Amino acid sequence: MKKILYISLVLLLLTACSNEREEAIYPAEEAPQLEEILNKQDTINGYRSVLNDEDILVAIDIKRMKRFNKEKIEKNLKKQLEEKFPDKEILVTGDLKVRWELEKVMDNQLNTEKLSETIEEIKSLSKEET
Amino acid sequence: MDQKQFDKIVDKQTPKAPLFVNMLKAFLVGGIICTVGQLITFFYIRFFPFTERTAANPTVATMVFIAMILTGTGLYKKISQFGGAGSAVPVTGFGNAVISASIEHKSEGYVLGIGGNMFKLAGSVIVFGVLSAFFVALIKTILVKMGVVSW
Repeated sequence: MKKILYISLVLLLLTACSNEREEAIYPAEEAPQLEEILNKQDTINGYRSVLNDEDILVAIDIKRMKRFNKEKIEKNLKKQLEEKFPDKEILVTGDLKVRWELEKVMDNQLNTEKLSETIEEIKSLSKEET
Repeated sequence: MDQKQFDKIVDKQTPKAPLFVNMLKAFLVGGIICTVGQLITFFYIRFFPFTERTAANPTVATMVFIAMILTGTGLYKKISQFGGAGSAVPVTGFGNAVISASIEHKSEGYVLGIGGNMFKLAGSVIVFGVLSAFFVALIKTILVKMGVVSW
């Protein structure tokens, strides 16, 4: 029993930290203004962004202790982006699911048609309440 | 011998509960259960169309289901003997309460025994949850209809 206790204590104390900032916009070099705004944020660790003609989806990785203000940070960033891109529909979220879906989009290098389909799907996902 | 003297003797005779060790055990067991729950949440987010907000519901159901199976096989008893409150406070304690009550009254028959006593311990939790959800939803519906707040 003591052995189990020691092993679990060691496992608890051996935590790894990674500080690398992960930033990606797809399609790349589409909107330098977007990159500029996102790089200015100091409350996030990184972001994934996918955009087409109508929509901008941004999944942000909020810093650990700032997660208490998650909704405020999302709202704030959304407002900033809406000022810069008044003709586009913007979704800013710290949700893990959206981030993973956007990563999938980047990995698969979807074409324009498929992209707008996927963007609609992700938007409806983030609206789901139940 | 009055009450005070009696209490003193009782205090002397009862073995001291190792408070710190118990807390550490509860912390570890509760933490491990919650880690498993977090892993299940990640599983649902990754492989099913659930977001961080919606993945909580299937996670709770899965955790309760796992706890029920562990109770039925007698494993949960061992875990809770070691972990104490660490295994009772998370939602797995709810599944354990339901199944252990029904196992206890199995000999009284399926309807009057299991059916009647299944929710003896955990029934109040269900009743309170359903009732409070109903009233909160009712109040919110009225407020939305009146135009005070929006969904």
